[in-house]
Amino acid sequence: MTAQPPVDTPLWPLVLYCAIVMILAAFIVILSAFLGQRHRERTTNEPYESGIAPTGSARIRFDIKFYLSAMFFVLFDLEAVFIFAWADAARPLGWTGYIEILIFIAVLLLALFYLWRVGALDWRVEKHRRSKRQVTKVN
Amino acid sequence: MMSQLLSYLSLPLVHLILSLVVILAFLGVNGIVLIYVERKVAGFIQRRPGPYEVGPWGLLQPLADALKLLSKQLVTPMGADKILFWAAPILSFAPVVICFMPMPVSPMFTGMEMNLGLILILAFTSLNVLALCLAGWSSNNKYSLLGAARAVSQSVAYEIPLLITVLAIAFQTGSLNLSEIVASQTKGIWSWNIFVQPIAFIIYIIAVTAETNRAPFDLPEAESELTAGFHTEYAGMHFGLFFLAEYSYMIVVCAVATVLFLGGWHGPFLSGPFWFILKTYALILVLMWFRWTFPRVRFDQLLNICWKWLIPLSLINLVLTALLVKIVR
Amino acid sequence: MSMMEYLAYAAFGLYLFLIVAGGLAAVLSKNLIRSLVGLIMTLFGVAGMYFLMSAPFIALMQILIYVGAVSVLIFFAIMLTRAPGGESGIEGSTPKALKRGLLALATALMPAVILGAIIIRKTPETLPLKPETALTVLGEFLTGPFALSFELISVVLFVAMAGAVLLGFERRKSE
Repeated sequence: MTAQPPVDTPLWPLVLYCAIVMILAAFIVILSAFLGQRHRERTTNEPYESGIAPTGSARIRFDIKFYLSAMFFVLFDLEAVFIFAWADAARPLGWTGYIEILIFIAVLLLALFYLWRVGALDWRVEKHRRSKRQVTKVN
Repeated sequence: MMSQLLSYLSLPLVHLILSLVVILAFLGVNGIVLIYVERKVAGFIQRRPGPYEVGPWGLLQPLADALKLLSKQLVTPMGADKILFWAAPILSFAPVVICFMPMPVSPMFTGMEMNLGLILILAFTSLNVLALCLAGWSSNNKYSLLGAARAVSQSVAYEIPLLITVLAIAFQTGSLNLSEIVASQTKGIWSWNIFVQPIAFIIYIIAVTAETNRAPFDLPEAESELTAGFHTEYAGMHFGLFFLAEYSYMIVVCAVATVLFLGGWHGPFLSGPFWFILKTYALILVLMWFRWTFPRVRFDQLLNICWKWLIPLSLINLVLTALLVKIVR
Repeated sequence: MSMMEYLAYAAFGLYLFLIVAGGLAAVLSKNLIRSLVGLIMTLFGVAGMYFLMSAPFIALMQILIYVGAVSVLIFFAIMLTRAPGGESGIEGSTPKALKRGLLALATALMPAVILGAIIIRKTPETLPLKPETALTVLGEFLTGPFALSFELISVVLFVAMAGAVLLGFERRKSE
């Protein structure tokens, strides 16, 4: 590759920085591993479950609600990023820019309202149970 | 030789490494101070003395705790994913140090002057959730995984109002550079954004309380339900790093609040850094006060506060801010 | 070359290592969560490349959205499945697995070979790096010439939300 790395951009040393911090943190942990006590009894390495022997896999499956909330987060995050680009430029843009962003935010609010109405934002336990009961009935 | 050394000192790289050392030292001291302060404040609010055995007024207690943590065994639970289990605390601590780089502590001392400082902080604080995911999953413990699931969905939900309120401030200033945001609040105490944007301040404080997983939003580590949440299986310095990262995140969000809402390093009589640290720690005391004042909320309540109150409010606040700025200027 | 220039090369190498190693980890590990970690490494390396190309806004967006948000989404998606540990029964008999591996390798190598040949044949001239584009310019473009697409983005995101609800929520109700 013949690409010429830039020399004057101030942000790329962040990596170096990140690397140093990681090494330091790892050093602390390794130091502690050397200094710490080392003993091994019958249950030392057993996962803690309030004193009861663990049963079944600990890698339980999550409810779909967690996935949905992550999905909404990604989408809203994206919208926020676009608004970021606008916010920096809004001063010179004048009223057209303002109305454009107003439409943008209005659609966003509409989406939020839709999620609200559909019940995707409800984490109520009772509803969940009811839907489960329906499932068992059908089965 | 000497002149060569001096010329190295003026390099931006050397400046960076120097600020790195300063930040790391500060974070270490901060962790130790905050452990003590938190326990003393808790004691004061609950009308008990708090730590008082080790040293005068218990001042050496956090040092004793740190030494104890360092000498504990690093237990790796059976069936855990060893690599990820060991990497998670390190991953939790590393990004927070980056967040201090663009912080304008005083007009003289800023680690890294950059136009996108605010976004840099937001981006790197959002990395914490990854460490939580890995910690929870790799522990092979049900409490850990449940705690991680809660922590992550809570953090991601509250990040949206946080982004949008910060946007409102950025828009009002017309810049994402933290130094410029501070510079826009120089005209006396009434030009501070806490008075210009009170709604934004309230939303910000609520959102960061949830982001840092602190009571009343400390569901991920609700000890009555989940033992300790995602760090149930972590012992010794592993836990210590998580703890340090948590307190460091607290100080990051409070420092950003100081910059955005409380006029940064501005203040009469004293020098800049002093005011900056004073305001930051005052905010941290407020967060501690929250912890011992409000009972823990339920998980559905927690998410409802975010989705049904904070997000619509922050969007409306953004539109109103934009409108007012347009009309005034 | 000055010291900073050497360091920039070192950073380039580090990013390249992150991208390649992350990609290999994502493909080769049997455990889905470890694959995710590999993917995150790759995304980080790409963000670093953006930094090197003096596009810090894109780089930070890469970290904020891909590393901070999309990977969380993938994590939850993995946790939805039955075997996040990866002990699924896909592993077939050895010749079949070998064949599959060879096919995957060929598919992965094809673009690399073609692009590599092009680069070796016609080495592009080194371009001076453009100075950092201000975010203001980006915003002006978004609300100026690309106003319609800007508005459409919000609609697309709305549709995506509705789709997510339909897939994950409505079906469970009707079941």
